Amino acid sequence: MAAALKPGFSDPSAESARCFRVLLNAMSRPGLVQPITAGLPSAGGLNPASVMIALTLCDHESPVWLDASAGDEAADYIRFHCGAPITADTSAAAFGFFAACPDRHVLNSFAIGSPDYPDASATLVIQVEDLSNGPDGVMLTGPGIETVHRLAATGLPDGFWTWLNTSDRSFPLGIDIILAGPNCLTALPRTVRVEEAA
Amino acid sequence: MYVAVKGGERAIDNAHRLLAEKRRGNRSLADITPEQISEQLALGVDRVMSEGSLYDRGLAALAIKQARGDMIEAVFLVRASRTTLARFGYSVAIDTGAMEISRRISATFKDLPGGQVLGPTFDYTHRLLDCGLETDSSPEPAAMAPVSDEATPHVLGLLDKQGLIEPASSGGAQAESEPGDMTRDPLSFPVDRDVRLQMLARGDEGFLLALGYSTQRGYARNHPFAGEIRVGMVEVCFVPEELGFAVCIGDIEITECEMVNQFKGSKSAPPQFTRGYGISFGHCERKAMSMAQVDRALRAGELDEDRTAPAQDEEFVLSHCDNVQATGFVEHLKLPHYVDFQSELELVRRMRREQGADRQEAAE
Amino acid sequence: MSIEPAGCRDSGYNFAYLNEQTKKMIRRALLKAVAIPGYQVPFASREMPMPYGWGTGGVQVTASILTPEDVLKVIDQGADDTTNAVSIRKFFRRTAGVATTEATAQATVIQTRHRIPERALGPDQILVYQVPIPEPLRFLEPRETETRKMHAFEDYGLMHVKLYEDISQHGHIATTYAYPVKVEGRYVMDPSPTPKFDNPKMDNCAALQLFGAGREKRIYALPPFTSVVSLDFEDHPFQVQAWEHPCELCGARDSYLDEVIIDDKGGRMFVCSDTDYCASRRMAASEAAE
Repeated sequence: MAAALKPGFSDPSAESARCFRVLLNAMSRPGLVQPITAGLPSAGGLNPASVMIALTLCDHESPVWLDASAGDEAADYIRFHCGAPITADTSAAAFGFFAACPDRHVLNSFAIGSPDYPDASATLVIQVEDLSNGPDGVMLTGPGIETVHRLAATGLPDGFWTWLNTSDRSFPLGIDIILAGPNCLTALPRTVRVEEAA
Repeated sequence: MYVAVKGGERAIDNAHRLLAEKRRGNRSLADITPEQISEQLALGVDRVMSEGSLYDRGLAALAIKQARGDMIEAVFLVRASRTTLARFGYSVAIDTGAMEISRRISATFKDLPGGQVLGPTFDYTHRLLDCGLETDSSPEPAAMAPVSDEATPHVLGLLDKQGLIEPASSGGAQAESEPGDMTRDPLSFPVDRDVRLQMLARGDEGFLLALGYSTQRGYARNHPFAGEIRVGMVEVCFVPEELGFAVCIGDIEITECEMVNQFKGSKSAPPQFTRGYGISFGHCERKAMSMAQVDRALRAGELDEDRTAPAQDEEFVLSHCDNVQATGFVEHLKLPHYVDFQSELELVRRMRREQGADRQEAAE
Repeated sequence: MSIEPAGCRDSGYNFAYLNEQTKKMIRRALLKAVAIPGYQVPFASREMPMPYGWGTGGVQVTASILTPEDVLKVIDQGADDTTNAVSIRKFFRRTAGVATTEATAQATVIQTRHRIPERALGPDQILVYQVPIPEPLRFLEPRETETRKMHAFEDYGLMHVKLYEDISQHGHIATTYAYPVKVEGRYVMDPSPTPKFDNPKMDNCAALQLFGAGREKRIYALPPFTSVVSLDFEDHPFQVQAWEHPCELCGARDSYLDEVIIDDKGGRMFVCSDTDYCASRRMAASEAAE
């Protein structure tokens, strides 16, 4: 395994700081597409945006769940570069990575926090084919959005937006999602409200 | 014309220079070295290591010198340095039963295996100032007993064999799992005994002393006996991931206190004694004893006792026992609060004005 | 007003002092804080080389978000030259080597204690607050175990009772700073000890606002364009402080004023607490006069 292991950050403190600001910006402005320029490789089924998220946020204190499409190479990569434990138990994972289109039942099995500790909830990274803020996208509103953000994403499972709006989400409980495009990303925190374009 | 005060940066730099000069004191006297502090003010170094939560005599002595003898400031320096250190992992639990004893006393049995070892103690000194120490002191060497091969079992272990005392436990749901670490995980109440003990071990000696004292005066009275106090060297072992077995990485000095407390029993348990535990780096006997008293008081819930006294109140004790936190927040009152004070001033003036107007109206 | 450019940092420390493992932990907490506006996320606050209560929470948040390209401004009581602001700015110049400025408009990250700048913040700015007691209910209920339940059940009756008792006793809500707010209609939040004068600036603000309490080990956040409402009553609506006089240095009538005592005969004057705001107004006035 180690022979083929791809590199992580070459200058971790500066690069992880820049990458985190992209993520912080994304989470603060739901649905706004953020370009990525970190120049990171893909690892197994994980695209460079997912790799960037793992390198920036995951470590031995944050168990990671990977879908089957992410593959062993991704698991080895995350173990080596982040020191994060890989778990098969979705309810114990702090982060979940979906290299392929997620199944709704799997999405529903991650931790959504408790009324006392709503922060004890998972952050899910879902890879998509493309992301853009065009006029055809769904309409997003909520904290972080001045009027409305329009987001178009290709590669999401059917019914994703309906699920996002209705899947047992009683704020403040919930999961937070980052959609990872090939070289861009956007965040959908639990506060976001969705209206599908007519 | 009013000009706002400027030059904060220069003032700070100058204050630091003045501090350095004051620290050095009279230059016709020799500069004190950390080695001298470590050797001759050893109990101060022990306290700084304990509350600083870092076993390093050299750094603790340096901190005491840098802090001009202000112990809480020295603890703070050690903590701030500790937080930047890389963490390799956790040691294997130390075995205090295998301690190389330098002092060991029990107030519960006149004699016992391993014997009573008085060791270096102030206990029976008459507190008369010794003018001999004003000049060079070269005390006579003390007579040392030959090192004994006899084992020194824990006094509480002897009681345990007869079923007279509760078994030792971390008293939580996760009794047998890995102990928690409050320096890595945010605290959430209620906490298990392992984390409680960790916080008490780092806690301020004076605060724990006062709380322990209060339990003897009737605030959560629990009839303590000093079952055993032992001071000495213990081995620290560590299991490197790549080796998979424990290697000894050094010896540290430890003070351990096990208190024996009354317990009248409950529906499910027959009458038996209960435990209070205290431990510190180095020789900090007062701290270890106070800690054991407070530990026992904090077990009130677990032992179905009424919680009525401050020493039994977990949130109160644990939230206020850390002297670095406490001193920071108390001393932050020195920082400017112009803005908040101005808003209070405005309100008080307005309310006085309105009250004055009311009074005037009433008088008319 | 100029930027002091980025310089050499002390290579004895990691960038911005904290090690990468600590930053990851704080960064995870920050993202959850942004996702749950107004909720206090517990984090494993580290000991910092400055005392607890002197900005360790704000410093840990700033250290975790700072990039080498940032321009940092630090204020205390609205001023860049108060001793603790100077000290924290110096800490980041030394450990992160970032550019610093006193000009609100030029800063990308602003760390503050007790004030929000008068000048409206923009979308490319982040405001980091130093927070001493993050729990708005703490002075009504000292126990964390109890206040956590109150937040969970959205049980804020006690707070309303307290504010209303003020009114019946004093004719006013007697809270003048750290005035509680409700975030997005859900969490009651402590805005840190800023005067209530600053509360309206938090509402629907274009900048991200982050709050760090080091000693109390909590982080919370307000995303941009978030609803922040000061608690009040229909018959006693929320009001901010007002002064009878303008700033005696720049003439501003819309800024928060410090009272300065100038002699022992009752002489006093009122000047802007936001030193950058005051200085830029005076500079603009003198340029216009030329």
